[in-house]
Amino acid sequence: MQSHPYFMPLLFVAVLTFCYSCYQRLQLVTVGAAENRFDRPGERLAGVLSYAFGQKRVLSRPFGVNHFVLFWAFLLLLVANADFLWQGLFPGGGLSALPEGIRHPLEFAFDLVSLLALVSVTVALARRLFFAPSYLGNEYTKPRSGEALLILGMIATLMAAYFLMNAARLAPGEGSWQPVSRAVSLVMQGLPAATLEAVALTSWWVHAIVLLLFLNLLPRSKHMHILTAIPNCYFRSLDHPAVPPREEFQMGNRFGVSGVEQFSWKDLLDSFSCTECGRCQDLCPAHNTGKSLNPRRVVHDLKVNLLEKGGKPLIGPKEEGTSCEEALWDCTTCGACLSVCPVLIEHLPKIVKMRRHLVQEKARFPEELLNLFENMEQRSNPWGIAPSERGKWISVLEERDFKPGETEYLFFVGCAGSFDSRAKQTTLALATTLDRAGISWGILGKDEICCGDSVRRLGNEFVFDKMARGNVELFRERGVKKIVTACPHCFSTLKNDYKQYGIELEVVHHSELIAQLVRDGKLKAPKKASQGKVLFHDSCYLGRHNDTYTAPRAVIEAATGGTPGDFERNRENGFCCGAGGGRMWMEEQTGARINHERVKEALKQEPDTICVSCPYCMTMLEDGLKDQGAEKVRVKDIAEVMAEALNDR
Amino acid sequence: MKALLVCEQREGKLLDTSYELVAFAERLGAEVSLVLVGTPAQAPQVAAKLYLADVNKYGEYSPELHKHIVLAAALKENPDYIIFPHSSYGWDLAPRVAATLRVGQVSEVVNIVDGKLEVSLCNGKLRRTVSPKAARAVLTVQAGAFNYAGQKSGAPQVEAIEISQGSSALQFVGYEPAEKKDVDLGRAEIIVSAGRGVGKKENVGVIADLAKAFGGELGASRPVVDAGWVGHSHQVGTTGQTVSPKLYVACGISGAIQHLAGMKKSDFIVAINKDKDAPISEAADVMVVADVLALAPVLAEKLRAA
Amino acid sequence: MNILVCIKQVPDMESRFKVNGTGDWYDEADLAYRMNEYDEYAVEQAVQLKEQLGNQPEITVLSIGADRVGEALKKALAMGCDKAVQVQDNDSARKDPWQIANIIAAFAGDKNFDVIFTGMQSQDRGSAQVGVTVAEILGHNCASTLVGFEYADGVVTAKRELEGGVKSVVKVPVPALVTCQLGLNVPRYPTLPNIMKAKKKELQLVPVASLLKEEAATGTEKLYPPVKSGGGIVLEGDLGDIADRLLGILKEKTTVMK
Repeated sequence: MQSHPYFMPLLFVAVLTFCYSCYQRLQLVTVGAAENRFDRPGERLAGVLSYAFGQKRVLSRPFGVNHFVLFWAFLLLLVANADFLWQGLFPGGGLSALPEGIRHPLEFAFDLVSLLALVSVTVALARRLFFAPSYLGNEYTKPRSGEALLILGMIATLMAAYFLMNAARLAPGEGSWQPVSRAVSLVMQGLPAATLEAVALTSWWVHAIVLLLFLNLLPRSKHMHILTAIPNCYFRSLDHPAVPPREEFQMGNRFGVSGVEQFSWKDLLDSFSCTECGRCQDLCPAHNTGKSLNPRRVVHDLKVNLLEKGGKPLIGPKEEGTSCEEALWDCTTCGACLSVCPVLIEHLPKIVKMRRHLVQEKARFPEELLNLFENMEQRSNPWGIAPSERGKWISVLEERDFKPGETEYLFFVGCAGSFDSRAKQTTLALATTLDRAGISWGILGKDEICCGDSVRRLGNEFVFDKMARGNVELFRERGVKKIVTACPHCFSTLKNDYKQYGIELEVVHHSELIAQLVRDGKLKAPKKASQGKVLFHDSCYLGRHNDTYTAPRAVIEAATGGTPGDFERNRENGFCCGAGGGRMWMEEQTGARINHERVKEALKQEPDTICVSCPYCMTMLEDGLKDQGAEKVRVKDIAEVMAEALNDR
Repeated sequence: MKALLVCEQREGKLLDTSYELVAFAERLGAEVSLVLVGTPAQAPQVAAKLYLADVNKYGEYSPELHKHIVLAAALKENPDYIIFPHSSYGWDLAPRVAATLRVGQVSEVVNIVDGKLEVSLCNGKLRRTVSPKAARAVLTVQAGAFNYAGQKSGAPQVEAIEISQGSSALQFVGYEPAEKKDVDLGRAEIIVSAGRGVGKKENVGVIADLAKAFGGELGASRPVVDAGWVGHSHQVGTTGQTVSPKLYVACGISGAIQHLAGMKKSDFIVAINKDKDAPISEAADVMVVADVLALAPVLAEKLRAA
Repeated sequence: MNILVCIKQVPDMESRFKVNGTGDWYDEADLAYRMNEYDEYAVEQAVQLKEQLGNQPEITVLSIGADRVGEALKKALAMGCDKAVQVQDNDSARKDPWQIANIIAAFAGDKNFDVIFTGMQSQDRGSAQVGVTVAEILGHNCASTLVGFEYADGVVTAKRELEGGVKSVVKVPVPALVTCQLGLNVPRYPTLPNIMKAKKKELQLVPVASLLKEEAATGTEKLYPPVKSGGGIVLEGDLGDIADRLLGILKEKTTVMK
């Protein structure tokens, strides 16, 4: 058999246009600002192995296994298809020149894997056509989108053509190493040789043309992820992905992001890595309650905007390629999108970067925030209460100033714990619990200022920077090394965000410390305090943002003697209370209340007590319960539950 | 000691603050004379000398001319104190008179303590006594601080007063009536707020009625607004309005910090709540432990009777 | 056009105030300072006027006090004022309104300001004198307590807030001084680029002695905390009885019950 004279130019053109498309897109990625994502290659490779090749997150959902099969089939068939193209140019070359001992196992593998690929493509097609989950679609794409069906159809065609071609060429009795092709050939038995030759040739051309079309469709569709997902996993954020980069406050700088070129190149690469799988959309509390935000759309709009080379505003009226302001303010920064994305796209930091632009360059934000910002700047707490009142809660105990060199733990009480009368009960519960365990702790009193969590998530980096520097300086001055806090927002900010200020602190959330004290035998609650049926609500900033799931549960177990129940959506899949990301200080104008959703989810299980580990969750769930007329369900912090158990002694 | 009291009228009506000046002067123990830019029909019913300038000639608001009228009266009376109400009329006019006479002014006197003038400082967080350096001074007196208990039946000895200055660069265009807005909590002097403790939408009317009896506005905590019992413009708190009325009555409001942050600047806070230890008690000047739905009608009735 | 805005830096009213050692003012230690709220409206209105006139007018912002007032001046510059003047005075708290007004008038005297904006009063002293007195000394037209401001052809149309929500509309030809009431506008939140730019704007320092020629006309005798108003009164029992006692307390402690 000879090479077809048309094939070489065809292949040449196809490869050239493919390369050009890829170049075009990668060129667009380089528009982005510099960011170092090249450090720690070992760690990065390990991530690629687990997230890309291991498909770790893909597999966490049903049908993930389908993608796993397809992914690995693709990798193997990459070799087969390269050989196919090679032999198109040089018939008789490539793998066919290998000795049988190698060739036969390979042929066996390709044959089997092609069948697997065909099956999983069929399943995927059926899923999209007949039982698509709601999150596959949204206002700009549907599960039965032409693009998705076309791609799946192409893959199926490739596999079918492959089998037909092989089958038609198999001489009777041949092909024991290609069981599937052989089975097909049995069907064609008895056809004249010329017909078989025609079938083989046609299949070969169909396979060749579809393959080259597929190659060219990749960079021009959401299937670009086939090319970018693996690099995207490599360049993932090795540090806390929700911690946005610092900004330099210098004359002439731009602040935040209002155009694609202000994003980092990795942000732009993210947009080409999105496969529109919809998992982020499925988990997002804002999207789930009918708000404007859809994290998937933020990434999609970024891609569209980038492809149109910034011809549209990045932030503006709600249309494809533009994120609307309302959507950006809807985000609770709960991190569900971050934790579920199979290819490690960083949605949340993009939203914060765009908020930064709105707040810092345009001073455009929901009006409720004006008060918050001024209160934070002037009185270092969200309510604008006099800083001198901060240490007032301690008056029921004895003075407990943090003494440099003497006190072990700084108890960073936080704003809610200092001023909110409900959260103050948690503060006292923790204080007495620590005393019971004989822990040396102290507070900064009126010198403590807000950690700055809300202002940072809201994009007011300038104010956050001032607050963070203030706190860091104070910590250094007082020689603070270890910090305990009862608020996950303080906890995460001090632990993760303050690292950017060059201070290494040992920060523990009170759930971790209490659990540790229980393990060490320093806290014993011999008479368990029954709280009835207990459900534990994961706080986003403790759980998802800091992977702390077992400690709070262990505390409840130690205090009540029973394992707490879980919400339907729990741990990594937990559902936000609605207060994170500065939403605590904003009106919820659109859609259902996030806290109502969460409370309804709890009430299905008829709990007596909902345990929380965060003052914001406390407020949101208590409010939600009252609104649902379910005040009889108590909301308690884990510290309160422990303190109650200790007092039963 | 002699005091010249500068009375005020608006749109044909003498304002009550004029009588409060008389009460204040009595507390000072001063011999009183009055000056008014108005009409004979508006003359304060006080048995004292009244210098009356014709408002039709000198205008409702023409501070330049009114200043000269006050100065003309002062020239005749030679008073130790020239006293204005601390009102939009008084605080606009008093400094002009003081500056022209080059004498000191003490603003918004709230009390007389041991013969000294007491004024408030820093939103009432502090008080101070102030004394003018010279024998003559201009004072303005806080509205409502001195109640006139006497009869409004004295006969003033009216003396018409004219000035030579005929025109003013300022041109008074007219009054604009108060906007018929749904509610303007930011400017309200009295706010009566309903909280979740009122139970249901139908009960909000009871609180609204109490607000009316107080002559104040109806406020609400966030849950009441969220539940749709009243509109958002009534919401007091961090995501609603921050208010600072002279009197705030919290009805069935437990006092979540978001609400406290919105009303803690109020001059005087009354909380009506069944729970004596509700967080609102920390902020309240008076904590009334009662069922607000039972108390409100009783209170409203007494207010109307008073 | 030349515009002057006069601002004051005041302690945060949320602070816990203590009487100082000599008993004639509050202790300034441990206090956080900010721009007088009324003056924020004055700055905003000045900037809006500048914008209305195509950014042609120059806005000078002036404050009297110790070096800390630089912070308030910087905020005004960040909001859009062009240059700042600090009248240096470490003892400004002891100057009475008459002296403050004379300092401002002495500064403004030869500079031909067409419109001067001040707050209606300061949050700490609340005398509501300084603005009007400055106008009186300079011989400018003046309207106080503005909740509406329009400017056209050399005339300010001012809406003054009177009691009970009534407004009075007045036309004031320039040169004019207006004092601004809360709610006149929505003071802007300065953008970060403007905060950066403000750092480079001119700050002129003027020693107070070069402007002040007047003695104080009034003096503080004594400063003290008020007798605690209600403070923890708890009323319980019969409804009619509670109502009577409550109304009694309100009559005694507040000024709104007549």
